[in-house]
Amino acid sequence: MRRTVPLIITFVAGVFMIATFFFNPDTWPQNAATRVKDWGLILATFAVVLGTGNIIRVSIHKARKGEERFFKIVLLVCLFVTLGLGLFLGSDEEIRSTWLNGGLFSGSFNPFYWIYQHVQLPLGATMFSLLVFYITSAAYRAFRIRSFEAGILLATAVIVMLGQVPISSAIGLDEVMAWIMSVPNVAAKRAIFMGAAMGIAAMSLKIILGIERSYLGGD
Amino acid sequence: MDAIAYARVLDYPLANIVMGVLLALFFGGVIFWTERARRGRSQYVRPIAGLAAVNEAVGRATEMGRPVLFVPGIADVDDIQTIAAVVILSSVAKTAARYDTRTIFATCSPLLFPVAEETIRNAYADAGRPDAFSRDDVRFLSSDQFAFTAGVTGIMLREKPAATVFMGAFWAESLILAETGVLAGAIQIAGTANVSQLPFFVAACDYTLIGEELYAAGAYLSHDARLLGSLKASDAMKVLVAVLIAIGVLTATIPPIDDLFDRLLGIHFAEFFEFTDPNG
Repeated sequence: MRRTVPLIITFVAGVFMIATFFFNPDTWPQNAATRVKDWGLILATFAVVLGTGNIIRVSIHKARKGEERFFKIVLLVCLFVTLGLGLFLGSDEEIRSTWLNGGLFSGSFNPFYWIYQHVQLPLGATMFSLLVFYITSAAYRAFRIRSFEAGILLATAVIVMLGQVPISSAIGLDEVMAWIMSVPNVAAKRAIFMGAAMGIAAMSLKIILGIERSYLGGD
Repeated sequence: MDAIAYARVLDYPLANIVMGVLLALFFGGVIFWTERARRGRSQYVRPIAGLAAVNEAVGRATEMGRPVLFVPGIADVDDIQTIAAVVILSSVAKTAARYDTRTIFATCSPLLFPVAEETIRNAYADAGRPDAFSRDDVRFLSSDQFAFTAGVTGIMLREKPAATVFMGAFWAESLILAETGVLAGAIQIAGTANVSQLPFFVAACDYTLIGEELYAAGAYLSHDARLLGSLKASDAMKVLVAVLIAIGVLTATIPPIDDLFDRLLGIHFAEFFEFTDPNG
């Protein structure tokens, strides 16, 4: 029963979602499919509570055992402060709640919005900008000439990189780069796309028919 | 009445009819080869180095007394790549359980988190070591892309996993994760169908599953004949698509070949392909 019910739900939902593809927009199957997708969004919102619970449990557990205690305490303080501010003040730039406005949080200043703009976004941008250093070290490793194929890769990469700079048009490298990007590159990408599309269809069918069921846990 | 004329009479997109026929052929193929495999007919599946290396990676982690880290990408559980990752996770966790090695799982999806916890718990139970499973090793870090990335890199540098497995949908964080894995000295196996991230994984990981190999991995690792059978259908469909592309290119490029098909089969392939192009 623990396995059968999820498999039946998967089969019915899977077949229905495939069938809706063949109906025109604004027909009842298409509208029903949109409704089902909305259910997924609602479920995901509730799952955030589970995820947050996991962060709190793991952090408290580790802090108690003395593993990374300082970091775990910082994490928990940040989590609860941000959560509290967000719940009470909302996520808008200005505090809309009249009973809070003018009290402790005078004026329209929303600390939750400030934390998002001045802590979360810059930290995210910092992580993203680290990518440039990682690209350099990965490129060094990838372009070391260890074989004939690696040599071709290096030569192609040099042409493509040089093709991006303005002077490349003077020696015709920009056209070579454009050809590499639009012919061999696109051909290889499409081959991977097509293989992946078949893989997706096969995987989906195996799940719908209950042939693949390891995602439910166990054999 | 041919398909083109029939579609026009119905005022129904021909692309849908073609898609329906191809889908039916493909689904029929999957069921046919799966049934054939179920009856005991052997299937040859070409070796995939990355998947063969899973045992080696887990064995190395065991020898070093360090954990295995599994990252299922940053897509949610409604992405088929994430489902494929969970299927692989089941096999990896089972192997790790047999070797009595920890499996650390980090996700950015709160929906995937309970699914993964259940999958790993069952994998350890199936391997006969339910006591070795620790709930603290299944971690939801953050829904934010780079906060999650920072969390995973932190785990890699603090816990020093001997093997890292990146399977699923990755975007800009792929190289940050893979390069940090190199710094941590882990043997790395990656797999994604996001073509733009493949070069990064190829450059930084020991083994990379490319595109469809990610979807075949579950069947490959489980050694289940029925799952392996379904791979045959994918290959047969790829041959069919390749033939259709060749016909399309020839008939669109050389008009006499299109006329020949018209005389023999009564089909103008060039018109057919043009008509089924959703942007046409």
